[in-house]
Amino acid sequence: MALNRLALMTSLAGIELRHPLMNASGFLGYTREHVHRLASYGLSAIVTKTITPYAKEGYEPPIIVALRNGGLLNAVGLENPGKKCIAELVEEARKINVPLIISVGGRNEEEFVEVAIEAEENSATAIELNLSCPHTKGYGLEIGSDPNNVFSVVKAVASVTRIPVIAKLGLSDRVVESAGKALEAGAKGLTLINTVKAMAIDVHTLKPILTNIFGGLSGPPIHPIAVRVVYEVFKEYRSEIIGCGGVSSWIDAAEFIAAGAKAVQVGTALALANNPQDLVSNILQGLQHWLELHGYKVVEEAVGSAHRV
Amino acid sequence: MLLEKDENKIPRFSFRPFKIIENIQIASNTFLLVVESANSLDHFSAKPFNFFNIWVPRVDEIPLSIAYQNGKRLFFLYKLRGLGTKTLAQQKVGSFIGIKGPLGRGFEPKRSEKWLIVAGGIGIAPIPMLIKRALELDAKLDIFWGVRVSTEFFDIAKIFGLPNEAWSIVRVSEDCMADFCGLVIDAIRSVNVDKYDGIIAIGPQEMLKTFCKQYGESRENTYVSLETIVKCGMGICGSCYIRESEKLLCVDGPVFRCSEVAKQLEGASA
Repeated sequence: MALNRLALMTSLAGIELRHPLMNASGFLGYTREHVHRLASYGLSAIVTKTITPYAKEGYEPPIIVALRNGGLLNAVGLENPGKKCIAELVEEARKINVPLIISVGGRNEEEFVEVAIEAEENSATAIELNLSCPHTKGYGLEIGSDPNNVFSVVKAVASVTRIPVIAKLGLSDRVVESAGKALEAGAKGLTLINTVKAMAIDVHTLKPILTNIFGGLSGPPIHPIAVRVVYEVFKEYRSEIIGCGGVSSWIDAAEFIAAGAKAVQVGTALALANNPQDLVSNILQGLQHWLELHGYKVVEEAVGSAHRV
Repeated sequence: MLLEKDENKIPRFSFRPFKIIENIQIASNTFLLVVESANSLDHFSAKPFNFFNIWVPRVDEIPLSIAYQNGKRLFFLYKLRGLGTKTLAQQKVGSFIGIKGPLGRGFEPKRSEKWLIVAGGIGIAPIPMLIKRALELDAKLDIFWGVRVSTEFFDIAKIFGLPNEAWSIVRVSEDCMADFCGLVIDAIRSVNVDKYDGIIAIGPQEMLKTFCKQYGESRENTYVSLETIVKCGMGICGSCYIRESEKLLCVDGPVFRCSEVAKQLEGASA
């Protein structure tokens, strides 16, 4: 069955999207070739790997391992070639006509601003601030778990860029408060959530599996946590949200939309899919049926539907 | 022919426990590792040119081609290179390591085909498995195996108990102590490649570059098995992307047509 393109259209932070599905940051996304591969999956936008001002080496392998519960555990260590790669990524995305969101990382406000400016100067579509990587010292959640830090980083970036700023927040006790601070500081949207800090021990060798010992858990095991966070944040602020965490079928995507998300990111499922193109089109078809089932003409009408009384 | 990607992806991306049965030096700087699944229910079948990521706990995760499979036993051939392989060589019989795989797509001849195989150094590693499969497929393999010094040679027929039918091997060494003196790429110059259904080279990148220049431009059925830095092995980290291509070595390779990896090989110093 052909997709009803009109019904699936959505927008997020002012970015027009032909459907709600984009990739989650961290899956490929730091070379021209990666952008091309991701685009071939049929996503409505591409989110790059987190880019830091200068090239950053990752951890020694093992950096990613699949778990028996269907999740993935990773500690790649924010490996990336540095901000100089942004021009090439933007150029490639423009060639294939797909919006490109630059995931930005840094150890302090200045570093976030430095990469964000590079993204803006190269006319990237938007910026997603990674305030939530759970496994790299000095980055991510070490900054983003404090709502005041979230405020100052978002404020610093939003005040020097015109392209939309999206804040990606991770699981923390004060995530709802952090979401509010990000919006107050000028974020046009929120990506909720990042991977959740976790670890795995091999019981035969009695050793932690990841070289970094701790990593970020992704995939189906974190989906209900992410739905909870999206639901709570939407309830509090009615903000523009990208749901992220454990989407592997249309039901998971629909759940995020019902909780309050206008767009959805897929990471683990896309990485493990034998045929990523099929996965994307199956999720979209399922979403379309779901919209029809409820008599919604566009995604927008379904956003936050679980909050209605 | 390139084989389909495996349907069941998730379990093979986790580390499964394997017990070391044998881990011995068989030639200069070269080791044979034999491992057996610690899980009696574990069932998987590796294909020629699949590889496995071997986890040496707290040290490294090393991608190694499957050299042979016999039921629950997996055989690997490896050279000492860095800390990872050196530590692997010190692992004792009876201890456990973790194994992720099979990774990558397999590659094998079609039934009754005749292939020319060009192996450089430890590029011989996937060949015993390929011979095993060729026997089943009634295919024929003519193998040229080149090394720098002849102490790098070992007897694959004896180690893996391969019958002498279906394949031949010509040994080439730069120290002139073998069937042919010089580089393997020179040794095949006198071979009429037109009599083969396809040719495949496995070895150092400079060798593959020369090979593709000589044979890849005019022939469709010319393949190389690449050895690049695979990190996660799952198509996620992106380390092993093929230049100017959508492909990733770890999920779409390691075997590619020469035409698919021209830009990738250009980067090699020849």
